[in-house]
Amino acid sequence: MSPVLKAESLVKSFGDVVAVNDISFEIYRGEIFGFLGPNGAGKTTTIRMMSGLLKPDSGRIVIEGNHNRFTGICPQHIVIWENLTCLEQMIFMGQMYDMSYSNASVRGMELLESLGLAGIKDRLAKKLSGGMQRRLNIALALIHSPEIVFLDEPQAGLDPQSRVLVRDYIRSIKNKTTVVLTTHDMEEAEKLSDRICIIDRGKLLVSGTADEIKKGIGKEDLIEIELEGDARTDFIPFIDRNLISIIGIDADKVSLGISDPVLSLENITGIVKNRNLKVKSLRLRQNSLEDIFIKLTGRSLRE
Amino acid sequence: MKIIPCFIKTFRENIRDWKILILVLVFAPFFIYVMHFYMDNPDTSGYDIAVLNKDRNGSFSASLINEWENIKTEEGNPVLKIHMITDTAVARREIRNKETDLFITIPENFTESLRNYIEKGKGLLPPVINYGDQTNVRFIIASSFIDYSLYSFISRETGIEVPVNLTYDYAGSVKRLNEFDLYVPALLVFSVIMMLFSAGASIVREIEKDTITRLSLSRLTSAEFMTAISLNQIIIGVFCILLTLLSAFSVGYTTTGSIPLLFLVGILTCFSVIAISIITVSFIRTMFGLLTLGCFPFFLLMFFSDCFLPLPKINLFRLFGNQVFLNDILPTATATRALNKVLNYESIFSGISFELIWIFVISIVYFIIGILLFRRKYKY
Repeated sequence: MSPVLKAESLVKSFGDVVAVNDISFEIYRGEIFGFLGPNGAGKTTTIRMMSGLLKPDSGRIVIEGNHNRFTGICPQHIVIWENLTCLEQMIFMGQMYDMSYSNASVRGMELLESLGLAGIKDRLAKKLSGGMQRRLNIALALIHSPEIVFLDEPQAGLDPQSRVLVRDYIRSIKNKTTVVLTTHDMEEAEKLSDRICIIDRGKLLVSGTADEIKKGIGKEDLIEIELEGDARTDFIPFIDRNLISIIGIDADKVSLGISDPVLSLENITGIVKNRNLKVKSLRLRQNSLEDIFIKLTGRSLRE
Repeated sequence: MKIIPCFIKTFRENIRDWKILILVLVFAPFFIYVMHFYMDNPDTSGYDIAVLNKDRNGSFSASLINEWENIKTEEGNPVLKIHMITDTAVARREIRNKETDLFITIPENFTESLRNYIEKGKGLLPPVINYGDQTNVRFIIASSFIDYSLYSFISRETGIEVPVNLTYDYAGSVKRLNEFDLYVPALLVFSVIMMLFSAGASIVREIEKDTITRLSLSRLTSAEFMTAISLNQIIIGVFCILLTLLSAFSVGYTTTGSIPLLFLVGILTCFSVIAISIITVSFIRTMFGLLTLGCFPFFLLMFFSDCFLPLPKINLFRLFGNQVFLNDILPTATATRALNKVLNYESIFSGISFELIWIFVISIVYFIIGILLFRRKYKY
């Protein structure tokens, strides 16, 4: 399958800060491609380069077809005309992409209906709630039926009902439109994206399907054990490091990575028995995308 | 043709963002009424004269004061507002406080000296003393009225023939102009200068909300965007001029000048103000910035276009027989002169052709600078 968008060795700096550092990836027609990364990872900068708003310092982006007509962007912040009604701005934006008034009007109404805004089509955008404005923000990116649409944090600030609506809508367009989305929400990304790439500090850390990433990076399952007493002195020094890796220690709660559940559990129960430790809770679960994300990008807060 | 939908969209936004629109539309008409109130009101117009008459019970001094009181405007309002005082210190304080424009002292033996002169045909008349602030333009104008009427009075009473008579011929081919008439063209230009805010707001709105990004990603070119905004602003500008002119007519202003020519100058001036607003918004990103920093070019245009304070003219060069002044760098200054010629001197097209060409050329220069700065700043 030939890629619809190909990024080759993208580099972009702002002064001394390297926002994107030698990133390469390919996006295929009709897929939902999720960009994950902490704040300041370089997601928005990459999206701005892909949509043509920023020029890379080096590297290149190869897009099939006419860039302007071909792409649509829904920025992270709400970009709407406050003094136009929902339908007026849909029609206006359609006309800016060479659509006739009637075509823009029909397409605008379709989108407003799909995103639950048809009932307030004649309301000024400034009088919409934050969630409605966000949905209008998404609709504006799609008015000209772009072949590839960049959705930068499309679900930020949405209530649960709106999140479901938007998620369903994004799913519904995936075969007609290639969707590139950025998000902090791992669960959302996992549910929506066909493929995911995780970037941090401008570097691409991993890419693939959610399962591929989980199997490739986080092949271990997780045991979360909560003990009475100090886990650091009573428990950690006695575990078999060949079987078990320590993911995190939080007071009396320990997260452990295991690749062989049977042997690992034997080791853990042995320590508990021999040292007369009391277990408050013990949970075995599969590695999530969030675990991988934290493992790759660390726990430190970003600016 | 994306100019039309962009024009309609901007027009809707202008109408719905009515606060700035109202400010722009009513500011100059408001000043028309204020200026008229000050200049055409018997209570506020006229020059304040304090008279200390030391020639008590003298008939000539009483006649002279009466003559001053009877100098009237064409509308029948007194030109000089005389009030009698008895204390020099009070009069001097009034001059310093600008309560009075001119303080006249009629000497003690004014009537007696004049009578002696009339009887004997010779003698020396004691001086009538004028006192005032020479930096106050009103003092100088009041002095000319006082001097002229004093010499006329003496000449008439004594029979002294003045070898030269002054004849006054006024500029303006049909009517005699008053101070308010001179403010009308200036306020028309001022109404267009106010557009700096509405034109700036139309662009800043897109920048502040980042909708300019959506536009730049679409097929709308920056030239089409600017054209749509300019057409909108020219319509607003025409309304500004119309409202200001109607306000002037409503308080009795008359002109036999060409109204179509007035609008031609007005539209060209709109174009120049739009160009200056594009330059302004190339340094500003928010509405707050426009309404604060944007005041700098606004005041520059207002003060250097003779809208309120006539400034001394600094000659730059002559071009095709026409003098170009320093403040002609601002097209609104040239526009004030052109409108004055049209409205108050009944100039026809050929009479202001140089000004029209100058405004057009200099507006194009500003427009090109504005577009270049805007593209550089916003990459659009």
